Amino acid sequence: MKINNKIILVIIFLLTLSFRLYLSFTNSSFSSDDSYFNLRVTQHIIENKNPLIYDELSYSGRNFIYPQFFNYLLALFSFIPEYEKIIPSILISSIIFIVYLISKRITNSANASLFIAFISAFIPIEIRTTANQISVYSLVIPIILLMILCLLNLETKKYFNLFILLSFLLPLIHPTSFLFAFSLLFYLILINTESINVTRYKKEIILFSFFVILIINFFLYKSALVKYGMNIIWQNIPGALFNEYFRTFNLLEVLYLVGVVPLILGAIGIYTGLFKKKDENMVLLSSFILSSLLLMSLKIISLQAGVLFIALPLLIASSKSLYNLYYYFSLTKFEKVKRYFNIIFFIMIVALSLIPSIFIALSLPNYNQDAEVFKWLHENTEKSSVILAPIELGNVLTYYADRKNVADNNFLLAPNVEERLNDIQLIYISPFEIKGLELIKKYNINYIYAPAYYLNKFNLQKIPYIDDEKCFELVRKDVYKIKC
Amino acid sequence: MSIKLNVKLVLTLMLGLMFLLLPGILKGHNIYAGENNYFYERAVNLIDGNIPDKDELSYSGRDFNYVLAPIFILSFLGKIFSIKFLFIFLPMLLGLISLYLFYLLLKRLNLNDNEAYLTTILFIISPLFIYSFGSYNILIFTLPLSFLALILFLKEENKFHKNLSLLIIFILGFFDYKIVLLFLLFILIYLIKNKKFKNFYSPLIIALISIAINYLPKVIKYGFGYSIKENYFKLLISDLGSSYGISIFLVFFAFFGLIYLWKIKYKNIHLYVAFILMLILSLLNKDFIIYFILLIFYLSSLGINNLIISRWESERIRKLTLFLLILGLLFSTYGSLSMVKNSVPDEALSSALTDLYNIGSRNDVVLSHYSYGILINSLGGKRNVIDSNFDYIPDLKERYPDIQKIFYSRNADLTKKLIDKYSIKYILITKEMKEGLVWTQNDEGLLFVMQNSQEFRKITSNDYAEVWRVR
Repeated sequence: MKINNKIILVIIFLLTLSFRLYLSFTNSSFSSDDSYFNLRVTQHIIENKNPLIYDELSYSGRNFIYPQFFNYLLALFSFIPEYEKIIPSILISSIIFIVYLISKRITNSANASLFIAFISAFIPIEIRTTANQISVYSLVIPIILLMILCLLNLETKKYFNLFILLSFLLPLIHPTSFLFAFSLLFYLILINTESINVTRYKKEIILFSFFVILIINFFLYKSALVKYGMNIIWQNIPGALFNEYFRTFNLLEVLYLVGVVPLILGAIGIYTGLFKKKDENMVLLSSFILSSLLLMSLKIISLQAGVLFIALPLLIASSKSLYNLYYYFSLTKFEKVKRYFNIIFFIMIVALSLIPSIFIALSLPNYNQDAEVFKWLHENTEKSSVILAPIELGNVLTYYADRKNVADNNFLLAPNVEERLNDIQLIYISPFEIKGLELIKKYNINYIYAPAYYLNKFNLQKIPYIDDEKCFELVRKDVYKIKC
Repeated sequence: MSIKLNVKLVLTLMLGLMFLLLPGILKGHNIYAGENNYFYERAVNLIDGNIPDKDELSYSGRDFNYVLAPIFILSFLGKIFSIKFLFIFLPMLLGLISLYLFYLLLKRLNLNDNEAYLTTILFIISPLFIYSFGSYNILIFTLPLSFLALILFLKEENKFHKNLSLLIIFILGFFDYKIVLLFLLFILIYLIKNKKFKNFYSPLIIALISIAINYLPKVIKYGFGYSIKENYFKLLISDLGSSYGISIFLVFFAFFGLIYLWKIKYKNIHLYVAFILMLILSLLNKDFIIYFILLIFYLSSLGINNLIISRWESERIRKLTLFLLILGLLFSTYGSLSMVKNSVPDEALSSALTDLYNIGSRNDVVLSHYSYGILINSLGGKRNVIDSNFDYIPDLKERYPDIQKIFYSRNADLTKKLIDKYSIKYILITKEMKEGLVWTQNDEGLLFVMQNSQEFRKITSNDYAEVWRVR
C-alpha cells in the first residue's frame, strides 16, 4: 500500500512537471518581466561570480539590493541546457511531496493527503505566479512549506536541524521571509490567547527563527532602511502604481485565484480545527492566513503574495476536512459510497482547479513581439544607447537589447522613481514637442520604443509629436531614433 | 567580597577610560572629532567679556541664543587652562565620573551586581558613550548631574541630600529643559510606585521655576520652534549610521529583558510605563532618544543576564541565540568605532575648508548639509545657510524646506531663485553627501543642475570634498 502511494505521488509530480515544462518549452519568451530580471542577475553571477550590486543598465545605472540566493542556485545548475526553464519547474513541482507530507502529518490519512497533493499542483494563483516564469516564488513556496513541515515535526532531530538551516536561508531568498516571521509571531499570540499547550521547545525555536530572519533582513536592507525609514515597507513603489500593487481584494477574485475546493474545504478545516478542537496545527495554518490578510489590508504585501500565502495554508487545512469526511463515512452507512465520492471529488478538482489553472496558464502574457524588437535594437544600436520603453518592459529591454533603460519595476533604491514615471508617460502622451524633447534630453534617450498596444491605453495611435522628421526617424516598426 | 566588587568596578572604569581615549587615538589630536569642540571654541571667542547679540556666521546671522552654561564654564576654565587641554581632559574626567554615578544609581535602584555591571558595560561600549564624552558638549554636564540628582533624591531619609538634589535640578534647567522633564517623569513614576506622591511637589516647583527662568523668555520671543523631520530608525539604530543610537542586537536583548520582566506580570508596571512614555517622547523629539537608550541598556542587561542564566528546553538554541546576538553586538561596537575613526572633519575636509577660508570674504555664504555648518564657520571662516543648532531659528520652517528644494530639485530656475534668496556664494559638497547623506545618485537634484548649468563652477576638490562657486 505504501509503495502504491509513493508511485501515485511520483506520477502526480511527473504530470505536474510535464505540464509546467510543456508551458515553458512551447513559449519562446517567459511570461513575466521579472523573469528577465532574474535571468540577467543569474547570468551576471555566472559570468562574474559576484552578486549584482550596481546595475549599469537599469535606470541608466543604479545601486541595487536584492537577496540573490535563488539566482546563485540557478547559476549552480547552469551547466544543464535550458536550466532557466527546468530548475524553477522542478522546484515548484516539488511542493507536491511537501504538501503530501504535511497533510499526512496532520491527518495521518494517505488518501486525503494524495488528493491535497494533487490539488497543490493546480492552484490558480500559484500557476499565475510561477508558470513559464523564472520566479523566486518557485523556491520560496517549497522552502516555506518545508519550514511548516519542520515545525510540525520539531521533535525529530533532522527536521529540527533543517528548520534552523532554513531560517538562515529564507531571508537570503526573498523579503517574504518577513511574512513568515510575522506569521510565527501571530502563531505565538494565537496559542497564548487560545490557551493551547505548546512545548517551550517549539516556542524557543520560533523565537530564534524570528530573530534570525529579522537580523538578516535588517543587514540586507540596511541601505534602503536608511533611505526610506518606515516607508521601506512600500518598497518605494511610485504613487501611480501603488494602487495596482496593493489592490484591495474582492471575494470572487480570491475564490478564482485560490480555487473553490481549497477555499471551501480549507475554511471548514480551519473552523473545526481552530474553534471546535483547538488543534495546534490548524492554529499554525490560520496564523499564516490571518497575517497575510492583515498585511494585505494594511497594504504591506501585494495582492498576489497575500493570496498565495492564503491559498497554501487553506489547501493544507483542506486535508483535515477531507479526513473528517472520510472518518464520517467510516462511521456511517456512507462507507459504501466512498469510492464514488472519490471519483466525484476528483472530477470536482479537475473542473474547479485543473481547468481554471490551464486557462490561466494559457492566458499568461508573452513578450515575443517585444523581444524581437529588442533583439533588433541589440544588433543595430550603439552599446551606450539609452532606450525608452514602457516601464513594464524595462527588464525585457535590458535583457534582450543589453542597453540602458529609463526605468523598470525594480523600485527599491531606484533614483527619482516618481519623477521618472511621470516623465515617461509625458514623453508618450504629451501633445507638445518641446516638452517631449526636453524630457528626452533629460534622460539622454536615443531610441523610443512605442508599441501600439501601450499607446492604445491612452487612446493614441502614435506619439503626438513623433511625425517631426527633423527630430525623429522611424527605424523599425514602433522604434524611433532621436535625431535632434 | 567588597574587595572583589571594587576590582570589578575599577576594571569597568578602566574599560570606560579606554573607550574615552579611543577618539583621540583613532582621529589623532590635531583634529577634533565631530563639530562640538569647534562650535564651543568659536562661541567662547565670541563672548569675550560680554554676551554678543548676534552670531554673524551661523545661519548667515542669528541671535546669540545658545545655551549659555557650557559656554560660560569653558570661558571661565579657559582662563586657567588651555582650551585644547580642556577639550581633552574635561569630557574624559566627567565621563569617568558619570560612569561611576551611573553604576551607583543602578545599585540604588536595587539592581543586582551582574545587572549593574552589565548595564554600565553596555553604556561604555555603545556609541552614545563616545558621542557624549568624546568632545566638549552639553551632555558631559547633564548626564553626571542628572545621575547625581537622582542618587541624592532616592536617598529619601536624608534631607540634606534631598535639598542638594533639588539644587541640582535647578542648575540642570540652565543646561537642558529635557533632562529636567525626564527627571520629573522618573521621580513621578518612582514616587507613585512607592506611594509617596506628596514628595513630588517640591521638585516640580523647583523644576518649573528653573525652566521658566531659562526658557520662557526664549519661547515668548521665538516660539516653540520647528523640528526637522528625520528618519527615526537612522537616529535610533547605530547600525544604520546613528552616532549615538543603539545596536539592533541590543534591541533584541531588550526584548528578552521585557520578556523576563513580564514573568512577574504587573509588578513591573512602572517600568512598562516608563518604557512607553520614553518611547513616545523620543518619537516626538529626537533629543530624548539619548535618555531612552539608557533605559534600553538596563532592559538589555536583563535580557543578556536572563539568556545566560535561564534554562531553555533546547540548550543548543539558547547558546546559538546568545552567540549570534553577542557576536552581532561586538560587530556593532566595531562598526561604531570605525564611524568615530571616519568621522568628520578629516584631513581632506579640513583641507577643502582651508581652501574655502582663503578665498572670498568672511561675509560670503556657503551652502552644505547642516552637519557641516559649524565647520564652515570655524574652519572655512564663512557664513553658513544652516547648521545643527536648530533651536530658536525664527525662519527655520521656511529655510529648511527651501534647502531641501535646492538639494533635490532638477529645475535650474527654481534652484537659482532659492540660491539668490539666501545669497549663497559657495556650495560645499562632500563624498558623504553624495553617498546617502543627501543623494544616492550622481545625477540627482543639485548635482544634476551643477553639472549642466553655466551658473556653477567647481573651484576646488579633493578625494572627499568639492567646493563650487555660484557665478
